[in-house]
Amino acid sequence: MNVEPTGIVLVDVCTIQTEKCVARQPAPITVVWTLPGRVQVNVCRPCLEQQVRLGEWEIRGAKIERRADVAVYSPDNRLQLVVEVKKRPRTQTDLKEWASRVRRNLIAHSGIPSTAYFLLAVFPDTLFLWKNSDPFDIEKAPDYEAGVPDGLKAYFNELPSSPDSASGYHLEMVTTSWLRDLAKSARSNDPSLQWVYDSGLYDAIKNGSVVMQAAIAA
Amino acid sequence: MILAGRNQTALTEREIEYCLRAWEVLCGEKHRAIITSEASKHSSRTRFSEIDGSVYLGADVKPGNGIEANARMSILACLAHELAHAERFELGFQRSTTLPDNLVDEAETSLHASFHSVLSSKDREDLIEDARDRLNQWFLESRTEVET
Repeated sequence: MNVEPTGIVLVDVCTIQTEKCVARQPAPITVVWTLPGRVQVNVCRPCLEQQVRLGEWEIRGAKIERRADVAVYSPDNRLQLVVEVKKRPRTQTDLKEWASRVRRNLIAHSGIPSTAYFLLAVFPDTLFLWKNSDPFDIEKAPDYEAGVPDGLKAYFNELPSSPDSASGYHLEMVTTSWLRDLAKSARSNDPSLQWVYDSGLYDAIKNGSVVMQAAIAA
Repeated sequence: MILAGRNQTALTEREIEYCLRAWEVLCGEKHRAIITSEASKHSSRTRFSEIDGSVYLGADVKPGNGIEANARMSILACLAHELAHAERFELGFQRSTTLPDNLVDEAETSLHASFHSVLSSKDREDLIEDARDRLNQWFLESRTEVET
């Protein structure tokens, strides 16, 4: 959905209230119109950008903060993989279509850099991997769709609650831990990792470094 | 940041309060200081200081009677421009402080600011037009330098 910022500043409670919200109590917020229909939504900046990251809103002409929930670098310090961690949307029927929209929105609003691989981890159960190439195809469907590998599932025990209800921060932590293990591991016959080997992702990040909540300069 | 044509009258307490709210909305999760000690003075300037990494609020945060994009830019757009200076500084961009090259830096900063997510389409247009005006001014100044 397209939204149009009005530039209005007022003090109110944010209507959206994502995990990143800074206006659960009255605080400075702005106002956007949803299009078409022009419904007023009062929203703080973190929630505005989070709605873009979730694939819910598009803002013509805007860029959002560029960051990665998890970033993985090769041993020669080149950014190879950007990971966006999400929870499965409650209302979405076509998960693959939604995943493609999330990636499209992130690229269109410069929320992630162009890297060889982009992984969308949709908890509790599905991973989508894109292998990017030139020319960059913003609308591309994921190259791989896979269930959560056993190595990642093993970390679910460390979550304070089930993956469905865990916070984004905790899900990023377990994803980071799994990727660290993966980057250090030897190639295995684990069938739940076949897509990691087939895609070339394993070779790209082998012996690399994994960083959680990485700010990435434009 | 300001060229001619913006407000020069000292800001009232209420106006300063509004600017602080606008600044908070622009900054989002990342708290940044904005210094208001000069804002209630006539002709004070809104600016980013590389020395202390802070933005100073001035009377010219408000639009004025000029007809150029810079003069009519809203408070939110003006503050987005200063925020862009701060962000570019953190990214390691070294500003030129002398004419005409500082005009290119100001143009880049306005373009950077124009992408801010909370700005209205009018604010984006004004910032982009401001960048264009500064680049035009750079061409004029550069030509003058060559001729003299």
